[in-house]
Amino acid sequence: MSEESLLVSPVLFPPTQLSYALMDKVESLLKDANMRFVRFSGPLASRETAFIHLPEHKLFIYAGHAKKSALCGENVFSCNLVTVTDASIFKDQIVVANPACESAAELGPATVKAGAKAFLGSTENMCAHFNEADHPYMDDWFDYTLTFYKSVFTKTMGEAVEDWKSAITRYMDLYKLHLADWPNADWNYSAAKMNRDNFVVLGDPQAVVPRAGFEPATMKGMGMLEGLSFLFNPENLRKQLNYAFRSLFSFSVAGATVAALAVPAVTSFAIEKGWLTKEQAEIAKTVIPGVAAVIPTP
Amino acid sequence: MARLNVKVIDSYSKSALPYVHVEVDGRVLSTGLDGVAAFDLPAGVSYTIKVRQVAYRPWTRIIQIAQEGTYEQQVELEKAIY
Repeated sequence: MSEESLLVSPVLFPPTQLSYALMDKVESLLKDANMRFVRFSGPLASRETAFIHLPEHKLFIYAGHAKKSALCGENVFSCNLVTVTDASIFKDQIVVANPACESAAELGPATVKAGAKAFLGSTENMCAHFNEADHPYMDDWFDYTLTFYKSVFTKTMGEAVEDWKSAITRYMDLYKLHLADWPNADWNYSAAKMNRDNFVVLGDPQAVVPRAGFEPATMKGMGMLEGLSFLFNPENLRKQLNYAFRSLFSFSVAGATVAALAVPAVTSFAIEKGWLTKEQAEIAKTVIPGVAAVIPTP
Repeated sequence: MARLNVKVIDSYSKSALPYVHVEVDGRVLSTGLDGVAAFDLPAGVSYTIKVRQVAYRPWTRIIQIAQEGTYEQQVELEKAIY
């Protein structure tokens, strides 16, 4: 299991119903990637809840209304889930705001300045697409945004943004081909272009979502001595030992459970069949729990 | 000739939307402060109306202008940006 992620997905004000549905799919991706996460939606997509949970997470994903200086949360009128003045709360975290308008204009730079590893967001508005009679544009939007999120969980943040741009470009090319026969292709082309061209990674493009037990991003670009020092520093050794102990413990518990069920059953079967001498059978009934109950003493 | 008034409003707030791009078979106008774009069109023809504003879901319909007179078309645009 990797470190926990926090997903916040408001659902009340259009078009957040679409980003909420998109986050359902992102949730499945997190499960597939064996990553632990917490998700807040509806009234829980609030400043209060976020502030209780934010410091415990390494990856923060937000999908909903935003402005240059803040992520709104469910309450778009106060729009204060997280503002520039709270930027230090993201220290050492990766922040992904997609879809969210303009978050990389002021909030993004402020969070990176305050110590966030990376901030992924748009400097301009971000658009949803809708399924229309001429083409299922929303399905395309789901596809290209999920391509992005798959990469967020498995690649560097820089690569994730590149994958996002490539996926959008493929759909833009498709819409361009159909400008004459798909009546809504023009708007969807512009919307996709806006989503593509203004999405940026601020901070470290080499940052990756940390996994429990090792931190590949931190190892990258290190010399041999630095690498060895990283591997053998007390904190990392403690993490590795803890991980190994948990694995060993899980294996021991599973082994003991199998043994506790199998040994009495096999022994009882052997006594019943007369494969053991009378003395061996008596000893087995005495020392192996459960055997005497199955084979009554004559 | 027939008069086609296209009135564009926000589907959530129901307020009029000015400066919205309205296209009727190649004829392009922007809505005024009252959210209305008015077209004078030959009757007896069907027209494709396209209403476009980057922050809103695109709206496209075909309407029939059967005879001379005034036609009202209200368009409720859904928000498309976050």
